[in-house]
Amino acid sequence: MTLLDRITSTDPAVRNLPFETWANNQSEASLLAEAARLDTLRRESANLYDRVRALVFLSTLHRFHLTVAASGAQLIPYSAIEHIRGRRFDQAVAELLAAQAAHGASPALSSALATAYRGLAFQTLADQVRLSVRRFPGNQWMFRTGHIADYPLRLHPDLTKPAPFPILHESTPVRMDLTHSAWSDIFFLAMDYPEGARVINISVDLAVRGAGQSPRPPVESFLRVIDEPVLRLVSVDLGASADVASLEELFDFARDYLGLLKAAVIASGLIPGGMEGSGQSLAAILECVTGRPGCGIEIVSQVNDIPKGSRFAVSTNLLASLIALCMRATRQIRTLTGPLEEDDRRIVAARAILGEWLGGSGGGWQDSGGVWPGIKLIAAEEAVPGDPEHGASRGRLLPRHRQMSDVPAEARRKLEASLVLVHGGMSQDVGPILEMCTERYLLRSGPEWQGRQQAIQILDQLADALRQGDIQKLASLTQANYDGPIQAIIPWAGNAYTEALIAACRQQFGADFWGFWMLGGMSGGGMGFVFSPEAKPAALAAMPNILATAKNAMQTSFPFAVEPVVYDFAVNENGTVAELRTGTEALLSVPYYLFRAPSDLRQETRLLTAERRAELARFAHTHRDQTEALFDRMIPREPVATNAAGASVYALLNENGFDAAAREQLRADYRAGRIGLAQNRLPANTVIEDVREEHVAQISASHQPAGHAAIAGHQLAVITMAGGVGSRWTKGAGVVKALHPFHRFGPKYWSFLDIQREKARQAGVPHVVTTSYLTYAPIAATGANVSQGRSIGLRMVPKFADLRYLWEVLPQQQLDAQKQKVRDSGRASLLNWVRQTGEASDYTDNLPSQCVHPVGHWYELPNLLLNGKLHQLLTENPNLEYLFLHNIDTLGATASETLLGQHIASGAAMTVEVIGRQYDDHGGGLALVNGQPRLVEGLCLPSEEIEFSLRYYNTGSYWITIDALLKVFGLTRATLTDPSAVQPAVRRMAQRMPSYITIKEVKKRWGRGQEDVFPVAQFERLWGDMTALPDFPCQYVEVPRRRGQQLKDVAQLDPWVRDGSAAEIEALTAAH
Amino acid sequence: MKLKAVITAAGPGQQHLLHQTLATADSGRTTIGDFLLELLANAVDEIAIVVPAAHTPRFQSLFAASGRRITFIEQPEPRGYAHAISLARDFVGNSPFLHLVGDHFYLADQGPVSSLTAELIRIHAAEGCSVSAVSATREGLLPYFGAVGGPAIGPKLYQVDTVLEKPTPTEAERVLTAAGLRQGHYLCFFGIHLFTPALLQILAEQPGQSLSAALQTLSRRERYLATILPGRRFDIGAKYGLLQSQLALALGSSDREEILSLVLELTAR
Repeated sequence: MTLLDRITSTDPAVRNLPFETWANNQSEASLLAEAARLDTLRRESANLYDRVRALVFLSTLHRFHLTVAASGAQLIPYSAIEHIRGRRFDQAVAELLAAQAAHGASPALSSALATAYRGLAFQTLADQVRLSVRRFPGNQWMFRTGHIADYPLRLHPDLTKPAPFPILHESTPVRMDLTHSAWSDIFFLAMDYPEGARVINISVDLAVRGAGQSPRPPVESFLRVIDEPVLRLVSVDLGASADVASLEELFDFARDYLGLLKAAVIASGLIPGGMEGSGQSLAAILECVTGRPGCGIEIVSQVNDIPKGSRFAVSTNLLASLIALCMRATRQIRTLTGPLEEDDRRIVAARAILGEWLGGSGGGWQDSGGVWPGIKLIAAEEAVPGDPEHGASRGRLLPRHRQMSDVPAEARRKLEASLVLVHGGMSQDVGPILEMCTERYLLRSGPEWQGRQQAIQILDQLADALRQGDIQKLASLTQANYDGPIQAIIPWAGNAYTEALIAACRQQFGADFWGFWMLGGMSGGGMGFVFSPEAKPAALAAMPNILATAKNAMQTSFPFAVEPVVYDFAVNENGTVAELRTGTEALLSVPYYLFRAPSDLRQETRLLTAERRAELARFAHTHRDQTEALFDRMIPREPVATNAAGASVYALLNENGFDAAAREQLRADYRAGRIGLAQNRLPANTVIEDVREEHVAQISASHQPAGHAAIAGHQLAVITMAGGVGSRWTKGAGVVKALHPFHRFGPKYWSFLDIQREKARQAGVPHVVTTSYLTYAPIAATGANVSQGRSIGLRMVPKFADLRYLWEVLPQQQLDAQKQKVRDSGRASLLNWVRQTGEASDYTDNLPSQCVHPVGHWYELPNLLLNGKLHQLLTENPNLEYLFLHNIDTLGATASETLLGQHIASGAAMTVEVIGRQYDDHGGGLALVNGQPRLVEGLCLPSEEIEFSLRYYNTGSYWITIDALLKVFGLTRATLTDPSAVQPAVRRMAQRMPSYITIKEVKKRWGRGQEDVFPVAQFERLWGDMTALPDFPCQYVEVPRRRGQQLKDVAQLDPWVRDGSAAEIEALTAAH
Repeated sequence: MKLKAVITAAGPGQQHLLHQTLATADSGRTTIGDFLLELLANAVDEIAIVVPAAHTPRFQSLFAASGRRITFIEQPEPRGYAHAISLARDFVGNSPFLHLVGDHFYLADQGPVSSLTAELIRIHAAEGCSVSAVSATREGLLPYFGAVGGPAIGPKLYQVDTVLEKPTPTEAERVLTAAGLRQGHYLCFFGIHLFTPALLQILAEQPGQSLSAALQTLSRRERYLATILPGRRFDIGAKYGLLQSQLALALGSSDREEILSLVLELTAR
């Protein structure tokens, strides 16, 4: 049975066979022949999902099988890389296949083919969803309307009667996912496997416990006519407002924090998508829709105290609330007030999907569940003739919502009496999880497919338990769901933090703790804990402490975004509901006035419009009790708050021996353009070529005995570099990456540090972990043998030119068209931020730990000299001759006897481990620079094209002879104890090392879990540049990929498991 | 078959529309009222015009020279379009009747304008049910018209199952699709209908409902058809509606070249 059969067969037993059962242990020729057949299928099949499945099979075949089996050495043509970057995946595949036909298959070509096929698969799926949304009846006209003469909407007459203009108010619950459903509500899955796509989804009202309020719909939105010709958008909870005066501004989503409101305005049809770029006047459209010259519309959103990452789909329900509001106002929905009818709910849900696409985000099809009332079973439906999806996918875009009227009121009450809802404080991007899930589904990977079937059975059992009001059984099922299918499909849906919370609940409440309930794409944010009704009051009281204790213990190793909170909740039986406020009742919410009134009051009264003056008078009359709150808003209590972080940063720098004079010199050089991103590059007359065969040694087992003897003779120590904060891993959230428990092996979550320490323990060699200022204390607290990092830098606001160079000159991966538009818009805002803040000024407007940076891993080894750690090692291990230096995230790096033996035999001062370059290996490599082999960083190469002509990539793992190292520093074992010798020696060597300016992303958190990502400039010195020293002879050895690859990104976890790397570590941990 | 006709001209702002005049190719001027009577031609022997309270004398003088038997029914207060029609119940009796809106000007694509009503009468005679003339109208004009949806049962002939008053395109796309129309076009009322007396019965049963709601009920109670007539209608109550009517009339006459030159000259300035 070939792979092709698994796609084209009509027999489910064949179609659902796992990919791996065919692909394992096939020869190169057999793999290539099957790849050719699949490529033909993906080109010729009329069936969308057959094409997509063929593409995912091809991607997997190349990535995990041909990169190992292919025997050729052909590098990736740079033009193919450019096509992939530009999302021209089809052209990339064509070029790569042509290269493969001409030169034979190679690991490098297959790695690029895998990327291109995968990109094409997801692009095809996303295009299909987008097409279905656009074709959804009721959505199509919005893309045709591009002129004021075609504009077809008018406000409901009840909204256009002035003095005062009435206010339409929509209040919307959020949704709680009872069954989780193994992510079956991902559009791609539901549209291919409708029979497996079902969820039980409950609309709930919430209140943060202890805030003195009872549960209410967490999402509110307001709309009214105003006597100014603008579209006024206000987000009360984000504290942002804008008077949008042009269409260009409206379609600029990332310009401010109002992207979601803008997406709602467009998706609701109030300003149809077809108007983008039409050159029409927004004021004219507003006049047309209101029927009143000189008038505009104000739209206000308000989320009541729900932090981001709650897993209640707050943003989708806010979007749906705003869309319902705008559609009611423009009479696209039959009822102006009250609940919605079923047809109207469906069109609101379809528009919410459109809005998410416009805003560059995305969720599942159950996310707008808050629009519907109560408890409902949501199930995908098969597409039938007449549907826009028919013929393209098996399922419809939108599912069917059915009220579970057979769940008695008593069962609902019992659920409320047992469930404790919390926000654990973590806010994570579930995007990579959703992609992994889709890919595994399409491959029918063994555990995934079994888990999915199991989750489907659990859903039926959960529904029964709910109908029977058996909450204890329900909780045992949600717990079984979490322990079983959810983590079988995506192991990273769970985490050590969640496990700690579950364990604490079990310990404190024993049999009264009935089970855990994972609420969304992954755990750590919104979660449910179910207790016996008798124990719930005690659990509610205990939960804040349980959360705080677990969070404090893991503060440095997890990206917490907010303080954990406990909610009170109630099932909402209405869904989204609107009311009209008229006459003296025509007021918005109190928080709105507390936000807006101060700016109004700072103006002269005569400058306010008549409506505004009257409204303020009404507010003053009806809310005299808000005087104090308003006073506090107008005169902030802590005017110096913004400087507090800055002040503490400087104090912290001083404490750590920060060299302010050197820093000023660096800033002057940066401002003057003597250093910068463009200046990182080697001089134009440098000749950079690929190395020849004689420059790279292959591993030879003949060296194993010598290495064995050296290790047995206590001649080796392992140095693990752990100064970093996982910029890519957490997208700038600033956690100690070494301590992040990223994967579960057996019963325990293991961090990077745990694994490296265990490897060293098993090898029986001394182990030192180097740290930076940022990571020293947390890592030292684990009991690891730590080298304290003392080098510290202060981040700077980047130069305008550097950002332009980074974003416009250096090659960039293009995103999906709409996401790219949002990214471009965001970048324009960041350029404005640079202008306003000042180029090359100190970056201090953040937490101190986010303002400082480690100054590159070059310092990590010299720090061993400076802080006496090497001396201590030598004292404790007098036979010590060699160091094995590697990164914390190079999990395959071990104290290999063969490589050590090979290093000893070479007589080199340093042996560098390199791997054959594949598509994802960016950032330099091994090159002949002016005829000399050395490592070069990607940022100093004149062009990226050169990088992809270099066949070897640096792994960051080095074997170092200690005496040779000391010699190049001008030191000896004896002078190591003399600070007056060591410090000048390190300084001299540092001066020989180039400093690179790099741009990193750093998160700034604010509000309730909101995050902004800023680019910051910092300088680094890198250890690889030691290979350029003429007096420090180096050799280069090619090692297997699994040994050399580094885990930099969460998205790498899935391939890391699938290529067998995780299994190797598992064997290691099993011996623990 | 001789029919009765009901023209509504009682809406706010409508009382002067029938008095508006258009220049014709023979250098004369004709009122919109006379154009409407031309539309009815010989198919109708009795006409009722629903006018605003106390406006009967003005309308009587307008039609004094027409030579037609015209009854004026006053609407005591402006209570809407459906109410205006319901006032004609005694006049109509238990017979089918033609209904025209008083704020439209009509042109046939070919031949006399009375061919439009003749076609409607022919379909009514053949099918024995209410028939409304409709026009394929682009979605941008939906705020100005009632619209219908339903399956096609013959060339340009539809069985109405849905009637909506001034629908949004969102609603129109969901429920008013009709075969044979360009995307974004819907069957909107042309302003000429031939109703069975059942409509008046429905209006009497539920006073206060809109005409579209009554027509929706009609479509459920008995067969109700819509047909696309080979002509054009202009809403003279809309901004530049009268100008548009005048241009259309003139461009369809022997003065076409002269009018085109005039428009071109104005455009070129």
